Amino acid sequence: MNQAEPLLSAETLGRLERLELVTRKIFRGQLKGERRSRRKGQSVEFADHRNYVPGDDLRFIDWNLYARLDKLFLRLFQEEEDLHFHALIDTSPSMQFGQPSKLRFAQQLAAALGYIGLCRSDRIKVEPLSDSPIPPASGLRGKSSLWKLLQQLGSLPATPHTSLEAAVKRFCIRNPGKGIVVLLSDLLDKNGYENALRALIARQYDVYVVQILSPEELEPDLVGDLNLVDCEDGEFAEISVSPRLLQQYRATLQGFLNQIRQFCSRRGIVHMTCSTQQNVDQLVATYLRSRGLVR
Amino acid sequence: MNFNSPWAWLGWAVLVAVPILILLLYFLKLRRQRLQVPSTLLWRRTLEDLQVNSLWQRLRSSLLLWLQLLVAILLLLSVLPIGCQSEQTIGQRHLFVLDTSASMTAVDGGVSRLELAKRQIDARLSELRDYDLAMLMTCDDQVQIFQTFTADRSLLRRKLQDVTTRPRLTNMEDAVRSAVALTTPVNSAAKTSGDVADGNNESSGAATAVQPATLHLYSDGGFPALKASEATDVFIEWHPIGQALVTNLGITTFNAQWNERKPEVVDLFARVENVSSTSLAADVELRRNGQVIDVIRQDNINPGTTLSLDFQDILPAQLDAVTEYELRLIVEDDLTVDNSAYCVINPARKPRILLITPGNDGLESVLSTTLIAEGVELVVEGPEFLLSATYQELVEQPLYDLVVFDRMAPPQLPLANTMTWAVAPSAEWKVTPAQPPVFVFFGNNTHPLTANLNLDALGFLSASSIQAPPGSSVLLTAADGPLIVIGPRENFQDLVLGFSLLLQEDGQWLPNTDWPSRITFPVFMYNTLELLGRLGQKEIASSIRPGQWVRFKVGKQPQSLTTVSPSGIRQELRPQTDGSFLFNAVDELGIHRILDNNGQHLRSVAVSLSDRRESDIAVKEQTLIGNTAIEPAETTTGEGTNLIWRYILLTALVALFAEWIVYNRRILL
Repeated sequence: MNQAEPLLSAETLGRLERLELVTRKIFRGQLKGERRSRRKGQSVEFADHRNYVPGDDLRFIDWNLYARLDKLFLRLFQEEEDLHFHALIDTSPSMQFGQPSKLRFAQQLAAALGYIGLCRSDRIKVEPLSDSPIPPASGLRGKSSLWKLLQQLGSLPATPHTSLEAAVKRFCIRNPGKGIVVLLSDLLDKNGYENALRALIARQYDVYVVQILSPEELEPDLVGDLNLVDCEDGEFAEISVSPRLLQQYRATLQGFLNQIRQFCSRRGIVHMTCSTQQNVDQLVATYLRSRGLVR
Repeated sequence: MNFNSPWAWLGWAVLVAVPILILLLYFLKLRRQRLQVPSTLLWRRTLEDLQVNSLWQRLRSSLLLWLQLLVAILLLLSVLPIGCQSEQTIGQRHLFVLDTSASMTAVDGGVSRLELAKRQIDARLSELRDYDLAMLMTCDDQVQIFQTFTADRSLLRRKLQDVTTRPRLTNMEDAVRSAVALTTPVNSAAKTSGDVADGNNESSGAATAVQPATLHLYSDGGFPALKASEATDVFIEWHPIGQALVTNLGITTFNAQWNERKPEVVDLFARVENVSSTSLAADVELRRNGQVIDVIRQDNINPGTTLSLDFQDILPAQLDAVTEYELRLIVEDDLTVDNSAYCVINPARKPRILLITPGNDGLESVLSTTLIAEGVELVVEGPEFLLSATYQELVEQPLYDLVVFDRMAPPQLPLANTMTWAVAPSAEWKVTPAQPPVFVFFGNNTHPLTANLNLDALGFLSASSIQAPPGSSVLLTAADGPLIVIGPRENFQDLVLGFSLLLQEDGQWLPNTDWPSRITFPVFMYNTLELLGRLGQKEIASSIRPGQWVRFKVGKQPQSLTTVSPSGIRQELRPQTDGSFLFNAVDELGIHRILDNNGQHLRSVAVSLSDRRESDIAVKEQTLIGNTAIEPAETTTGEGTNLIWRYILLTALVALFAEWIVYNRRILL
């Protein structure tokens, strides 16, 4: 896929406008939004009555009920709040691999999810994972911010070797609010991913982990005696490719994915594995919908 | 079923090394292709999982490796003459007899005949079947068995490479007789069973049912016709080595002798034969002690002609130094060993004579005559000498050539020839009491001591008859018995006379006989000194052939001598029990010098080939066994047939190696 192509096509945008981000938690937003809140607010949707106490807004007194019962009751309405959506994109060198690259895939996915949120007036924030200080990304709201979103995605700074744990903790410190966090990464961090996900859980984010792997990682097409060099830390591994080695690699990969999946399911984290060969439109429309991230 | 493996440990080591080498090549990853990947996390985990039994896992998973090993082992086994011994497998037996005589050194085809014969045998070995047995013998004037019957081709080839020529004559008759003895069914079967009983597994491949053998003679045919009886029960193939048209001029005779009329002149006589197919020209050099003293140029020596050469050289009559002669042909021909011949003249050695007597004018006067006194070293001792320690040395060492006991018996016989007057020299001899008077009955005219001597008229006032040990010869007989007897004693001879020249009467010694006044007495004494004392032996030594023995004595008996060969090889000689030295002319032509412990040159021994049959190197059209002519067999001269498999094997191994490199991407095609 050509890197110069837009992240989202017009047809994709049209399909995404009909979707919305779903959270399994109800959060307190900062602005009125299009989501019902557990809180009672000022929306048009009736929620309950309560006794009037002095000081209440007289506009919400249910005068019909006063006529029948001769008591003052106050009408309560469902509060509608906005949703905070964070897309954490791993921009480490390992994400540069694949055709298209895993980073490109992550950018497209983040753009799609972000556009869905923008259409629902959610607060969208796209941040690269970095364990070094970077300028904070501004939150985006409204469909008009689509191009800003795309601009932010297109200008994600490439980071060198990134510790997933350190980057996530830095994100948590800078973003104390709650909301949905979609972590777009290959999770191939030799220091582990567990602490990073625990940090997000501790902040009570609704966490979605989208693990992006390239076909070369899922089904390596290697032959001969190779000296594999890690692009991030330069560590090497000498292998002599044989069917047995490839079989063992596949078993190791499957074990690794099952380990992540088990870790996430125990902690209420939705884990999804994607290949860069998958179509983003179909992924959002079918796979992410089936996993409950959008509807 | 037993496997017959003809390979020695070295061959098996190579066999085992090839698969090991292939295995090592799989583990010696010289250069891996670098490849950058997003992360080595999963790969390292994979490798850790595979780390247990990783070696065998890798081997198990490498189909190519197993295929390579299989192909390599099959290739190696294919070239091995490994077979299974079974009752059905009865191989033929081949006996290769290789001529190693002097004529096989001829270079008439760009390569020596021996080398050519080796190649032909090597090629013939390749044509044998796996279960055929072969044996290798060489022959010159001796027969040598280099390898008994075996199916091990590599062993035979190694032994074949060890064969070298010797400058000796050809005795094919002995070789064929030995070969027939070794290959006739009865003898071979007995030998085979004997080998098995001895645990000799080299001939374990011998067939239980012995097949007739084929005798392969690889020779240039320079040997006389074989007797028909010597070639029964074998099939003989004669493989002539060399060419019929050759170029050779050889010295077939070279001798020296003192001139009978002029004592100071040495006559040297030589024969030079042209056995070539063309006329030749040559220079003939005569060297004395390394210096050229005469040169003869012969411009046209026709084929088949013999050139007789005579030289004369003047030497001092009393020669006190060794004189060495060399006759050398300056000519370019195919055989070089017959282009030189040698002979020597050694100084005469004075024999040492010991006379032990109480006093005997007749005996002493004879020994002091000019002819004898100049030719011997005489020592006279009294009766007390027999009791001295010096005499004991004579018993232990051969210090004298002849010891004369005059009227006194020795306590022990010395290590020398003895002459005893009037008494028995040892307990083996018996002397009867003196019987007066005694007259000679007859003398032995055939013995060298008394030949041509008329002793019949001798008379003695008193004499005793002698009872000699068995094997003795009676030289003079009287009516009562033998008067003079000579008998052997190990390496010596004892001469016993039953009378004395003097007779004791009234305390005075009077003549017992008039024999000393007769001419026969000094002649008899001279004969005795000549035979028992080696007086006047000529010291001209014609050359001997390699392998022959020569016996000689030197003046005073040394403990050892040193021989120096023409190439400078030194060898120590120890005396025999009779004080003489035995020298074996080893396979080195030229003049061998004999030195004493002080380095003094005592004498020389000349070793020359000088044989017409060896010089005649032209290959004959046929050879005869009895009246049957044997035509030359067709020989395999090409060496490619037996070496092709090596190239095929090498190519296959190289192909395997190249395939391994390509497969592992060590090179890019």
